[in-house]
Amino acid sequence: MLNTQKLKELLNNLNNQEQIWLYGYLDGTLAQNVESQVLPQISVKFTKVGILFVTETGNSKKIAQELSAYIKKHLNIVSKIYNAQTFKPKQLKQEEYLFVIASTHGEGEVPEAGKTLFDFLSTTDEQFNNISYAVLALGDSSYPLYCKAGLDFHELFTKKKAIPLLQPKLIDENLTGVNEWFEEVAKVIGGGAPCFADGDRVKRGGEPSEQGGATQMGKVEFEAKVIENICLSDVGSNKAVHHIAFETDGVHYECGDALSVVPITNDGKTHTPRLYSIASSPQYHLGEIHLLVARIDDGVCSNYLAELPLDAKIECKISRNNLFKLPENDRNVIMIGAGTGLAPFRGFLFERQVIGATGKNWLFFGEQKSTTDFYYQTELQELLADGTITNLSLAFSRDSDQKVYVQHKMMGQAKEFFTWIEAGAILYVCGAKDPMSRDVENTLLEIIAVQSGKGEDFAKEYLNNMIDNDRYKKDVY
Amino acid sequence: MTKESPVEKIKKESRGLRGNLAVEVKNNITLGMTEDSAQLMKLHGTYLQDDRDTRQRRAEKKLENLYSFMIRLRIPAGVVSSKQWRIIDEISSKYANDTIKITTRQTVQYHGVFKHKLKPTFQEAYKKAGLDAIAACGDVNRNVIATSCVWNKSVFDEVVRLSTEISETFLPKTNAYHEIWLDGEQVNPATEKDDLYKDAYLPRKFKIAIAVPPLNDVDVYAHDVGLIAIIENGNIAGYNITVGGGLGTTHGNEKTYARLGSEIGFVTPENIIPILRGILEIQRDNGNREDRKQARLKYTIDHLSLQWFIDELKSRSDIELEQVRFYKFTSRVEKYGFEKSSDGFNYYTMFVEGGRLRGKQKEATREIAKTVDCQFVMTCNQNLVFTQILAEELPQFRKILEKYRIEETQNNLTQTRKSSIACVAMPTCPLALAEAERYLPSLIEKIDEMMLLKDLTAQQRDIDIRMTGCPNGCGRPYLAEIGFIGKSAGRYNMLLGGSKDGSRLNKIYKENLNEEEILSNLSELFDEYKNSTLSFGEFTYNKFFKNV
Repeated sequence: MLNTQKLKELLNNLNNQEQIWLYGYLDGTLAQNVESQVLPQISVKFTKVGILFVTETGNSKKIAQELSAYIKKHLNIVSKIYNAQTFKPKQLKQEEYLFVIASTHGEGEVPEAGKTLFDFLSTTDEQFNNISYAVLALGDSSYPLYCKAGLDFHELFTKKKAIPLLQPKLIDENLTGVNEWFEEVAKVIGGGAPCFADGDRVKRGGEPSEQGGATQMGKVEFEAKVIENICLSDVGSNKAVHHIAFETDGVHYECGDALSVVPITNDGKTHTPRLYSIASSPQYHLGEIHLLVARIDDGVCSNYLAELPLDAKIECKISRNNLFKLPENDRNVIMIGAGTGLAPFRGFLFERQVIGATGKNWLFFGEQKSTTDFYYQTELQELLADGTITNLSLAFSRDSDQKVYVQHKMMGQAKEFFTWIEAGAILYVCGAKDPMSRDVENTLLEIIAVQSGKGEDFAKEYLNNMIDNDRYKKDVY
Repeated sequence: MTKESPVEKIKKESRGLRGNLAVEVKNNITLGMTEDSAQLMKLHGTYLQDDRDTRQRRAEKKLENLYSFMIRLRIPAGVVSSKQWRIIDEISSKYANDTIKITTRQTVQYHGVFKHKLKPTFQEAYKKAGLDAIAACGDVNRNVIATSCVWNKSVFDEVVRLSTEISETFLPKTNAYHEIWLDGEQVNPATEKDDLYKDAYLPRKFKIAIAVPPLNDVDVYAHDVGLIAIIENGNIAGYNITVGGGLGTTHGNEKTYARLGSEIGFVTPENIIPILRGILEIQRDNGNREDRKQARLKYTIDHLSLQWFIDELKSRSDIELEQVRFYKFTSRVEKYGFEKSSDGFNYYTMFVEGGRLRGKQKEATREIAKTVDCQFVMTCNQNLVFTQILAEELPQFRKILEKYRIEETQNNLTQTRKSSIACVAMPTCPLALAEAERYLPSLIEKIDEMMLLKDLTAQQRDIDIRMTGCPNGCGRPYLAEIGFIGKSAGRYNMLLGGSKDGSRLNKIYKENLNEEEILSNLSELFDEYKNSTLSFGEFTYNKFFKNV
């Protein structure tokens, strides 16, 4: 007989959507065959699989979507995809299986999008002994702390008594090994070897797909020749920010991508690559790649770049950032960049100008002093004059006693800002993670809460929706 | 009909000088302003300029020109208190380029004030020191200047009072300055009525100077209106009026010329304001509003004739001009160092080269302002007089002079240097064709050396030299014994023959000279001048122009 206690527990574990799904499922099944053995089938089909991605540039997300499709196809199991950024820790308990796909940022750091989850797991007293999990850790083997963030997540789940199904799988930036991991995952869920039809494997590796995406991860190193190296900061600035232009015939990249540069120093040390958001548009600045580099006192790579003479050549490669791409041409965009965070937006604007995109563009830029730190001032003035830039909001924190930052500029135009978002604008943020991107996000929440008149919780949900719909994109460091 | 100058339209459509300034001052996309707003800003005492030295560098850095504003305060007769000077000094360090330029219009000029520093500058000047910049530039009556006759306290007090009254009486009647810069209450421009300036203001700038003989430091004949105080029995009996003075010319425009003011009569003190009002009205109604290079009062008078002007003034003011009375100017340069005034106060005149206070000399003025309760008087020769120094504060004052070696430095300077005047010119003045303030000191050094080598006497070595970077005349080069007027980089027109008392214009001697040519010409002239008992201005006038 059916154990009602167990059924209650089971139902309690379902969220609203799942209950509705179950109701429909039972109804449909019963309608087909009233005499069929319903319950055992439910126990099989009801395997709850969550796929959680922690992403920096979109690769993890893309893999999560592919894994979900894979499981559906081979096991007929509908899985749920969670973005760590909007994931609520209490949702963890709803999953039987959890597959974590986590990329690593910079020097072994957890990407911004995974910070909340990471902090929760590090501090909570809760245990997750009814969750079975496996981690796919993405990284770049040219860094010493290869795949560190994924390994950290693996360790945290182990500590919380979750059951590891597989050893963490380390994936280098060419993504070799992802398919194998999919197969292993299918095995542990399905309890047996799934069978693959010939040629049914997901394509992996360096072959670029038409849509771009994770499969197009750049790995081809190329040489780039310096054709301009200008310190944009004027006399009296506290900064030394360089515009460096490279001649790069035949190199394919898109606005929003980064250039991965390995500095070469006289001391013979080998260095890990550094990523710089590309500041040019491939359509406008034909055959060139531009970088906006802030020279930092002890920054090996920024000093290396800033000191490059004309005609010097560097070794570099394109690092795709699939999460930071321009939308369709008629879509409005809001770009918020502080300091060198202006870089990708310069590319965006020139790109949109040259392709004749009809969407409106609102640029927020912040730096210290309007007299010395207004990067690409004359270009931006022209883009404003020709209508490419619809609104240009500038925050120069040291121009007055009141330290004005980009978030203050957003707040000062809250109504118009919210109107743009409501009308479907895509929001981009680029620059320092702390405190800029956090301040911007808090302000964004406040604007949504106040302008909608629906309060904080609504604002959070609203923002999560924007994230889920790819309308809130961050490239922060 | 000829077309009105575009500036006329800007003034008329400005809604009482408001225009779009409140919006533009907040626009941080550019450090500059639109042309229309820049025009209006003049009536708020500022000029939009840029650092011409950095244009090339900034263009390479993808930055626009380094635009900033020159702010000229309105300080009638150039008099401020110690307390006010402290604020003036503080503002220069906080919001400008850490220098103070004392101008030939007897006021403070700040340079390099960025757009976003305008408001704090105006606010602090007004709220802490009671100073504003209203009408310090533009087509209105500008800062009123007066002889720094501190030697006679009662006369000095009276000319300062009159300067202030004139300045305030002829301010534009608009609340714009208070609204835009001082967060003052918004007034509907339609409710403001300006009987004098109406909506188009004057056709061109308008300058009034008060001179107290025997010192003609104001160059009284160089202004649209000059008031020459007639002292009788130790008091001011009234003023001789001069009209139509003006120095500005334009290279290559033969219709432009420097003109000395014409003396038209004498009036008693109570009639000064009505007479001035009449003159301003005549100029307002008859000045040329089509060609700004023909718009000053001097051209209005010459076009309509002086007699017509006098008749018109009489009918408008209903005041009968009396015969001009006797006076005599003996000098244009103040005496440097310590002197005592009629009422027993001590005063000290400090030479400020090119009027530019910076570094140690500026520090000295700051320390004086902080520790000595006295009056600061800016002179039309760009110098600074400290007056009303109490006997008990004199030791402290002397201590500061010693600490900064003011007296010592000053005593070591030649008379020619101490009589020199230079305008700002490069790098900030947009009109400048050549250097002036930055270059004149080194040229004077060479001229001084040459005079010594040629054994000129001390008296002969006292020559008034003035240099400007363009022909507009800010440094009054047309009244110098040797005037240099910039033509292009490193090249100057050389003018000779001005008189020491400022009553005779000089004339072009040679054009387009570089330094080498300037020095070789002077060398020849000095060889002959050595045997003359006249001043250099008289000597050259007699030699080259008297019989022409």
